[in-house]
Amino acid sequence: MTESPATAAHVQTYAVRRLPRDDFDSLYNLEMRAVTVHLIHRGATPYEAADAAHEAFIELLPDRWRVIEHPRAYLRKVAWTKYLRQSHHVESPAGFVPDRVGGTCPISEVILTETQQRIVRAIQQLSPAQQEVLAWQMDGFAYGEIAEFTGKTEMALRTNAKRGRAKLKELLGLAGPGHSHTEEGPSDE
Amino acid sequence: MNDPLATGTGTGTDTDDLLDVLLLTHAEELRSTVARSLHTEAGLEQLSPLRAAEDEARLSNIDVVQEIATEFGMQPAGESPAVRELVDIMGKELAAISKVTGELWRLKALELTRYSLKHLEASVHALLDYERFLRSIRREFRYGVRMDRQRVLQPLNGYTAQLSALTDVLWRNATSTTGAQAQLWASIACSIGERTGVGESLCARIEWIFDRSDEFQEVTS
Repeated sequence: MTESPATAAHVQTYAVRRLPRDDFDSLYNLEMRAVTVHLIHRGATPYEAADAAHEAFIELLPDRWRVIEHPRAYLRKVAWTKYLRQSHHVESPAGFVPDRVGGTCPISEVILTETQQRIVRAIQQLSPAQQEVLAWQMDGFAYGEIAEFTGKTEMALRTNAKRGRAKLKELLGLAGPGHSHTEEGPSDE
Repeated sequence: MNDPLATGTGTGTDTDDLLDVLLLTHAEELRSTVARSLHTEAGLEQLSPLRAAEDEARLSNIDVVQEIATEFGMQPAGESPAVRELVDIMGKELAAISKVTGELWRLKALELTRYSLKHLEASVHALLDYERFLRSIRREFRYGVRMDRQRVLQPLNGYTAQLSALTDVLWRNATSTTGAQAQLWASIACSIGERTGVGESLCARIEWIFDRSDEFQEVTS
């Protein structure tokens, strides 16, 4: 690895912020996968996540995508709501999805490596609030932005991130001896 | 911007660093895995009917989209006062362009000849293109993204010249019609004339910023 995580995160954030605002295809191609992964980290199956992500893009049409200042944040918020409202659980790519205007984005079977499965399972064991802040962070958002878009305080987000990271370290076998995530407090809102 | 995955505790232990690397790498790899399974071409195809009426809807939804833009548009401008001022002016100009584009488009209700209608549509599309361009460079200035001088100024000068030509055409329409129609054309000609002036002023401001700020000079080979 030749690049520090901080640099990697910076590059990623820089790249996504330069999304062309006159090219919906590029926005869709880049963000469809990212929003799908965002929802997977928050508990959705890949098929539920892809369905909700595509539905979020429908909300950006015909022209909202051109004018809102933060389409990436908007997509994640809307996709999360769509996921919560899904009345069906989809475990496979052939799972039933009701017909609707705008259709769906077809998806083949998603085959995760063992490492990917292990990390996803670990993240999905966190509390919803911990998953939320880590999912946004993995997408390149800073605490201030997450607070702005989710309506939560930075302090609550930092607390949840800290606890989530501590728990992840344990679950993934990264915690050193004597470390524990069982710090109690009022967050996890 | 700070590192999104930094712990925020200021302690930065080895395991924290390891977790950062693990999560960032994992997220990137998972996006690639998902991308291989998603049929985005087909997904875009499904969305195409909703995109077809885009510009039409764009003109009839200006108030709604501005409301959404307000909800999701609240980051401070760049550090430099000149850039902040530029961003503010561009924001106001975008609203003015939206307004005049809507007014121009509503003139299609007039009894226009086939050629005039075609010309009107072309003018509206040119204004929409200009608006998109302006919105795009405004965001780049706002976030302090490094920019290429020619990539900004060349199109902006081009759009300004288009606006100037459009103003002339609109004035000709105003003088070749009478009564209420003439007033409508004249009113829009005035508005587009103002847009031309603002466009020229934006070019001058941007040139000034490029001349004085290394921060916005593209470092390219």
